[in-house]
Amino acid sequence: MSGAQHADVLIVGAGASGGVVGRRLAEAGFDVVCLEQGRWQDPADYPGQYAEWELAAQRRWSSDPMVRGLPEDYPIDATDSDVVPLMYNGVGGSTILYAGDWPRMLPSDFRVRSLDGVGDDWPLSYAELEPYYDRTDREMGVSGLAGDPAYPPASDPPLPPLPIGAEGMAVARAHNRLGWHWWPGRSAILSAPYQGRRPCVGWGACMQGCPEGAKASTDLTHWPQAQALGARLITGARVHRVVLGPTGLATGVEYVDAEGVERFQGADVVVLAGNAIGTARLLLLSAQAGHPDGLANGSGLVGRRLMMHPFGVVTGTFPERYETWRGHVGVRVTCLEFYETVEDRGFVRGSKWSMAPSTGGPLNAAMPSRAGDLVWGADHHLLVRERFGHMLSWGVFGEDLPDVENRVELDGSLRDSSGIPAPRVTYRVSENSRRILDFGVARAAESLSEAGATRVDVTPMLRHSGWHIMGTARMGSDPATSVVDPWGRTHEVENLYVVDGSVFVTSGGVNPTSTICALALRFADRMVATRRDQRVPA
Amino acid sequence: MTFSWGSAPPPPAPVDDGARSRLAAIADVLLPEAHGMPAASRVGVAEEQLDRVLHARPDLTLPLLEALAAVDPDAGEAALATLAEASPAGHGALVVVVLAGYYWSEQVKALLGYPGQTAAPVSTAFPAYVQEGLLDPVLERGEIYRRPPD
Repeated sequence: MSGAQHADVLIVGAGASGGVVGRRLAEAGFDVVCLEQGRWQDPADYPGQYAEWELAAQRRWSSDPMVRGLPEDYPIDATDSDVVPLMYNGVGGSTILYAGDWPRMLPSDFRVRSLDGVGDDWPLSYAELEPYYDRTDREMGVSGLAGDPAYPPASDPPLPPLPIGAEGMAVARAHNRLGWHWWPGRSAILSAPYQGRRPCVGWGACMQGCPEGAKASTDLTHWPQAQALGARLITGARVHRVVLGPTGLATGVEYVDAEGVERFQGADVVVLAGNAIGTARLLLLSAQAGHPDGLANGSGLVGRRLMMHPFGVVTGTFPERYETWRGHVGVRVTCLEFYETVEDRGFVRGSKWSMAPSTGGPLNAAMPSRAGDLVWGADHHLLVRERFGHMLSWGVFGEDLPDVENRVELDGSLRDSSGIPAPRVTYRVSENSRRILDFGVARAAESLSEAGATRVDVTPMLRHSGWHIMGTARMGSDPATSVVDPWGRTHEVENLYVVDGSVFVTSGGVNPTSTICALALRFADRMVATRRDQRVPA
Repeated sequence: MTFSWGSAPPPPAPVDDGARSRLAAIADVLLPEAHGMPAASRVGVAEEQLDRVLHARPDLTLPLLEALAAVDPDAGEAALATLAEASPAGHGALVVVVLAGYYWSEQVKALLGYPGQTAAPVSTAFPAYVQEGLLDPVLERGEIYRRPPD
C-alpha cells in the first residue's frame, strides 16, 4: 500500500466543518492534509448563467446524490426513510448547493431537556458558542441586520442585509397586521464586496452553485486560505477505514485514490468531517479489534439519533409580478413567531420559516417541484402566466427530536463505485415533528393569504428535503450515552475527532450550517490550545 | 451536461422523423395554441429544441424514444395518463422534453416577459422597510425568545 507524507492533522472531508477546521489549524501552524472524495468546482460550470440551468438542476446539479450519480457520489439506500438525504460531495461539500440561509440556533435549543423535558441538553450553551458564531460569520461573509428580538442582543453581521424586495415588504406588512414576528433574513451571501469576493448579482440559482462566488462555500472561503498556509488537499480520495495502532490511537486512514489505488495516509490526529451520514458510515466501516461494532462505538450510538428536519412548503400565488426568478433564493424574510414551545399547541418546540421567491424559471412554474400539479391543454398557458414570477413560498421546518431508531447503517449489498459498502438510512418522522409541521404550514398559509395571495398551495412534507443531516455521533460528557466529548474528541480514541453535524445533540429548528461551522471552530480552537497535551501515536 | 450558451447549435439528436412527428403531435395536445401562446410544434419542440434538450440531457433519449413508441397521439391527454402508469420513466422524459423545449424558445420567453437569468448588482441602499417603519412593531414587542435556566 502506497504511503504519503505524514501529517500533523488529517481531515476527512473538505466541506463546511472540514474547511473551518483546516483553515484554523493551518493558521496555527499545523501541517494539515485533507482527503476529499469529490473534486474542486469551477464556477464557470455552475448552470445558473446558462439557458439550460433548470434542466441541469434536475440532474447534474441535483442535491440528491442518487439523482446526480457522479462517480464521487456514494449511493444511499433511503427506501426505508420518510425523508431523502441530500448532499454534495466535493471541495466545499454541501455549501456548494445550499441556499446560504444562515440563522443561529436559539438559547432554548441547547436546553430542550431542561425546558421541555424532551431530548437532551447540549454540553454547552448559546453564550459559549456565540463568539464562534461571530468569527465564522466574518470568515464566511454574512449579510444581515442586528437587533432581531427573537435572539439575545448580538454583534452586527459583517455586511448589511440583502434586499427583501417588494415581496418581502408585502409579507412584512402582513405579519405586522397579524402581530407576528418577521425579520430580514441572514444569509452567507455577500451584499457588498468582501475579502476579494464579489457580491450577489441575483442570478437566482444559488442552489446550483453561485456563478459569482458571492455565496459562501468553503472552497472559496477556507480552503484557498488553508492551502496558502501549506495545507494539502487531496481530491478523489475515498477514505474507507480509520486505522488504529497498537496503543489504541489512530495512526491514519486507508483510502482509494482517483486511479483506484489503495493508499494509506498517516497523521498524529484524525478529524472526521464527512457529514452525519458519511462520518457514521466511516466509523462503522472502521470496526476492528477492540471496536467490533464500529470505531468509537462503545455507546452503540454511532449512526443512531439521525435527525433531518422534515420540511413543509406553503406557496402563495399573488396578483403582483415579483420577478421571482431573480435574486438570492434562500431567505428574504424569516419568521420565528412559532419557534418556542407554547403549551396548548399539542407539541413541544416549534418551527422556523424562511420566505423566498418560489425559485426557478418558467420550467419550474410549468412543472413545479413543490406545490402544484401539471396542467395540460389551453389551461396550461393560463396557469403558467398566473404562476410564473408571482409565487412566494414559506419553507417551514422545526425541531426534529432524536430517536435512536432513526439511524445510518451499512447496507448489506449496496456499494459505491470503489466497492465500499454504502449507507442505508432508516428514518421515521415523529408525531411531534408532524404536529409542528401541520401547525406551521397552517399558520404560514394564513400569512400568505394575509399578504394578498389569491391562491395558496400546501405541501405538508416534502420527501426530498433532507438537506440538514445531524446527530449520528452525538456529543456529551458521558461515554455511555455519547460518542464524542464536548470538544469533538471521541471518548474511545484520544486522537480521533468528529467535527461535523454528527455531533449535534438535538437538531434545533433552524438551518444548521452556521452552527456546524461555529462548533467546528470551537473544536479547532481547543485542538490548538491543548496541542501539547494531545497524545499521538509513536 | 454540455451547455449551449454561446456555442454552435447542437448536432441533431438521434430521433428519426417518425418519432419527431409523433412528438410534435402529442406536444401540441399538451401545449396547444391558446391564450396568445403558440403551439409547441410551432416553436420547434420536435425539431431544434429537441436537439438542444437531448444535447443537454442525453440520458432522456432512450426513455423518450420508448415513450414515443408507446404513446398514441390521437388519444390526447389520456395518452399521457396511460403512459404515466405503464412507463413512469418514459412519461417523465416526454414531459421534460416538451416543457424544456417549449420554455427555452426565445419566442415563448419573450411572450412571458422572461429575459432569462441575468446578473445585476443588488442594492443595499437604506432599506425601504426601515424607512416605512415596518420593523418598529416587531421591536416594540421586545424579546420573544425563551431564556434557559442557566
